[in-house]
Amino acid sequence: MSVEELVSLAKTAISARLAERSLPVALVGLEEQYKKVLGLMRRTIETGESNSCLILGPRGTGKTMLVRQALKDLERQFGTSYQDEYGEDEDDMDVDVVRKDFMVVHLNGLVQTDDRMALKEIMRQLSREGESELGNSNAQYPIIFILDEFDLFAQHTKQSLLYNLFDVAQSAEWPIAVIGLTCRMDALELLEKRVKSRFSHRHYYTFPPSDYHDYIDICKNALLLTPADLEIQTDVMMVGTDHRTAEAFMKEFNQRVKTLFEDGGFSKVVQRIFDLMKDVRAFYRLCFGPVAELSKESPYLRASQFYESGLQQRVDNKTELLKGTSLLELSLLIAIKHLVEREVTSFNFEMVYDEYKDFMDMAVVRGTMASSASSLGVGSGGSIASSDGVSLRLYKKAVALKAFEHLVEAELLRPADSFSKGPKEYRMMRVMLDASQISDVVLKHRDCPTIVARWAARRG
Amino acid sequence: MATSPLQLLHEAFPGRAKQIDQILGFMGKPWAATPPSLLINGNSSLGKTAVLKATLSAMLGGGSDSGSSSTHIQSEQQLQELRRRLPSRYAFLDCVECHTPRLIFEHAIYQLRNPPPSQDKGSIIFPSTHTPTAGMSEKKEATTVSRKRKRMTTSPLDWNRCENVNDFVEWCRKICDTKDELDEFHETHGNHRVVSGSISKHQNETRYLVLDRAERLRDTAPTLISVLMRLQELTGRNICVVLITTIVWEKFRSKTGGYEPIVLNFPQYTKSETVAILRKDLPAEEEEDLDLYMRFVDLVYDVFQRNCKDLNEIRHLVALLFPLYIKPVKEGKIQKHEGLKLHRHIQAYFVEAMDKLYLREISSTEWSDRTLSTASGSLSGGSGSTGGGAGGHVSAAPGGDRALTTALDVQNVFDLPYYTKFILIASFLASYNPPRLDMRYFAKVSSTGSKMTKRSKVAAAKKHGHDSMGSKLRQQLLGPKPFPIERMLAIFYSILDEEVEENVNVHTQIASLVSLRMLQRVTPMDKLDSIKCKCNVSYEMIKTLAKSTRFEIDKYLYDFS
Ligand SMILES: Nc1ncnc2c1ncn2[C@@H]1O[C@H](COP(=O)(O)OP(=O)(O)OP(=O)(O)O)[C@@H](O)[C@H]1O
Ligand SMILES: Nc1ncnc2c1ncn2[C@@H]1O[C@H](COP(=O)(O)OP(=O)(O)OP(=O)(O)O)[C@@H](O)[C@H]1O
Ligand SMILES: [Mg+2]
Ligand SMILES: [Mg+2]
Repeated sequence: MSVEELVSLAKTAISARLAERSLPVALVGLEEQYKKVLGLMRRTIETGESNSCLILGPRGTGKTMLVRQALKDLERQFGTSYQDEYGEDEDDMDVDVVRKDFMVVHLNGLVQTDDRMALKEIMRQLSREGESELGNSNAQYPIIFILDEFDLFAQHTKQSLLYNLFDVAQSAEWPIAVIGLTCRMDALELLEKRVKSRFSHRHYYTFPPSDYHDYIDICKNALLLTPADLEIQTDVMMVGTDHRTAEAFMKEFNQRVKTLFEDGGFSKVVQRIFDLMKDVRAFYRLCFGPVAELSKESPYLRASQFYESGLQQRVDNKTELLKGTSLLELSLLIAIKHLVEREVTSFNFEMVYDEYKDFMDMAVVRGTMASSASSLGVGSGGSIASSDGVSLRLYKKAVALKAFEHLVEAELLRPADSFSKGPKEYRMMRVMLDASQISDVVLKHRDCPTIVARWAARRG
Repeated sequence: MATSPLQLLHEAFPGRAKQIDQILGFMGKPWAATPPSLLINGNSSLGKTAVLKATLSAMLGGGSDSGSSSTHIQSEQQLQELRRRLPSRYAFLDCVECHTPRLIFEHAIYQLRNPPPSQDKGSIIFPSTHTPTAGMSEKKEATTVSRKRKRMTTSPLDWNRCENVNDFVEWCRKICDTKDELDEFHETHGNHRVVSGSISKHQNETRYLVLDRAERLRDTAPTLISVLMRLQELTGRNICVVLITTIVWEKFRSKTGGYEPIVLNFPQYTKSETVAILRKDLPAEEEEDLDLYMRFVDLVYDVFQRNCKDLNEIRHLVALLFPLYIKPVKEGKIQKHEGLKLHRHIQAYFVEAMDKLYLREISSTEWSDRTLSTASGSLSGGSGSTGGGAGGHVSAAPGGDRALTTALDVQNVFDLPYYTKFILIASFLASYNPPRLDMRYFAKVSSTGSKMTKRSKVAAAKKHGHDSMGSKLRQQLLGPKPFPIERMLAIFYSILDEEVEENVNVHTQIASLVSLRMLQRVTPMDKLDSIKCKCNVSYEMIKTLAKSTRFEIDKYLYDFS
């Protein structure tokens, strides 16, 4: 196998993990919850016991992963026609298992936005599974219902889907397990009394890794290659050169990943993400770029790649976007700052322009006075040359209005009330930055004339 | 010489090589896993739309049919041919056009089930033959879309109804699961899963769903954003959603959070990048003026960049002003190398251009036509006529979000009948003066002398009640207030120092002002009495109008400057 092919395989495998298309190699710190959820499902399948539970936890803490992993393991144990809705490659699935002992229905509150749709989807999934190999036995197949974004189902009228599912589960008419996943910790409170009373009240929590080492482990696992990633068959006795090059590549690659985590700069970036949000996905986002850059010329991950990608994902691009403001827009922002400082919190274009004009008038007066002493002249169109050789000019209202609209488009300004109509000059607006942020923009602005900067710094 | 699509892309977009590489990196091999979602942001006209369209088209749309393909190896050629013929791997939607979830779904499905847009109109994809009258290419696109719409009504088989997320997700699965010749091609050519060993299952090619001007989604389909961000998880297929927007991701984030996209920022162009982009605008037949052109571009950039960061605008300016710049050279009045003279010559035009920045009152062709035909070439002389000529354009302000009628139909105003002019003036006064002062301003007093003294008293009174903040709350700045017609008529009869002729029907006149949009009715149409109106005419205009009727409006206005 050539390096190019190996890199391509490595990229595909890692990207799939980062995109959460494939499951991580290990669940870290969720062993307890995993065991509980697995046990609950297994009892439904093995003994026909019905059950319900909720898995609660912040975003990206492994709720969906947990359930997917459990289903995957059950499927290996019991065999099923269950097709992974997540489209993961089931490359290690035993082909000779044709028994089907349970069915799975996946619902997601984002997709099935009302009960009618949810029912339709349940029917679709059941009939698809039934079709495949139901045989003619009328045995009661256990069904496992997964309700992702559970809280959204509680918003459906009368919560009838939830009511019915919990009711079936409680009355043990048919062996089902109902497993809700949600990031809303108050999800239980959303349930109506009659629904709530039918729920088992079993619930499990997932948390972001509290320990930095756990966090690092999860991150590292995502980047480390496994033999399966490179399609190295471990069980077969293979001693071809392909096999050897692949193994050598994997060893080298993983060694580089380990060094990466020892790199000071890289650690700082990761530590920072951990301190700020403990979010695994935030680290994954950081990795997409560097992984995508792997090529046969540069087949291993390097720390320097992450510095830049860290910057790109981190800087709030607001400052980047503000770099694109023109001097006129900047002037209008300063005028707004002065208005806000005088507690005129909502304003319209005319007021801003008036403030801007006042400043320009003053600047022109000063400019003329200065020009009698020096050679700074007032330009024909009322433009004045300031000390740093930049000519300022009072823009016509129409031009300024365009600039003002640009600020609105950039959503630095928002309408003060949602339904004000009428000519746009008079529409009342609010500014989305505070005075200090505006001053900051002025400071960072590449070429702001001192006279304008001084105006910005002035108070009141 | 072999020119790869990548090279072509890099050449077509100076200053965007890095972004193009990044996008291609994320895309990876055609069947590889991609990030679930990307957010491309950056200020206006930084090439977001153009780069993405060109990149997708070059990679997944079968590239261009241009001659260079002879250098491609045969399988490559075959691949391109398949790409052009088979259903597209990407859908490119504009959220302004697709302003409901349903439109988004149906357009996406349509595009993903039909071959990619053909490459004949290559100019859209590669901006090299770009015409600086911006909006051209967009218009072209709009027509292709509307053509598509038409097709949809004629051949309903091609258009699929899809009204909700549930159906859309199902459609996406279906689309991604259809294995076609392209997927087979990859298999047979061993392009993928090199050592596929025991693994027979494989991924079909990744589909892309691009949503341009995505900031609109927040208004038109707020709940859809979180769905799109994890469409990959929801469908379980290789599908990548790309949002293009001018705003930051923070403004999309919903309260409940959700999957966050990878952010890719398109930074502002540097000077050399801007110059390189503009370099491509010079028509090939004027290649001999290159030196002069480049010098001019440099000059325009230096003069305008501080106030105008918009590439399109700079481009517009260059296209507009370059003919004027080289005119004296063409006429032999100034030599090419006399930079200073040329500079002085163009200076006056710059001043005017500065005043018109962003306004686009006239198209570049119109501008050059007119200014070139004016033998004198003095633009300040011509600016008067600009006002008149521009009238029509200004009134067509975009988005139906009309600004005050400023230059609007100056002509129209002067054509108004005599009394109508006074009705308009009276409306203006009623809209901006506080009613409590009406007595002082407009009470009819027999002798003009005492009228004046009254007015000056008011003028004195004006000085009071001004504090630093209050001055920003003057009516002049707040805009016109609605007034009852009766009040306006009282003012009208007062300022008109003569009897109104019998046959003049003031109400018809008011109605015609309303239809001209100079007055705006604020009470509903079916309400017949106590009608209220607002005056929609700017101060500048009313001043001109008053002057033409010899009416000293300033004396009657409270708190204006
Ligand atoms: N404890 C953990 N061990 C290993 N991997 C983890 C852990 N927590 C999170 N991850 C990684 O983070 C990814 C996101 O987890 P998952 O999709 O389960 O989140 P979730 O809780 O369902 O979030 P959401 O509420 O947004 O749906 C997983 O695919 C996994 O790669
Ligand atoms: N690097 C570049 N090279 C050549 N042409 C460019 C480049 N960047 C932008 N352009 C051209 O500038 C014009 C504006 O670009 P485009 O419409 O892609 O901007 P945008 O970022 O999508 O802006 P908006 O946010 O306003 O939609 C297009 O005609 C495009 O071809
Ligand atoms: Mg989840
Ligand atoms: Mg665009």
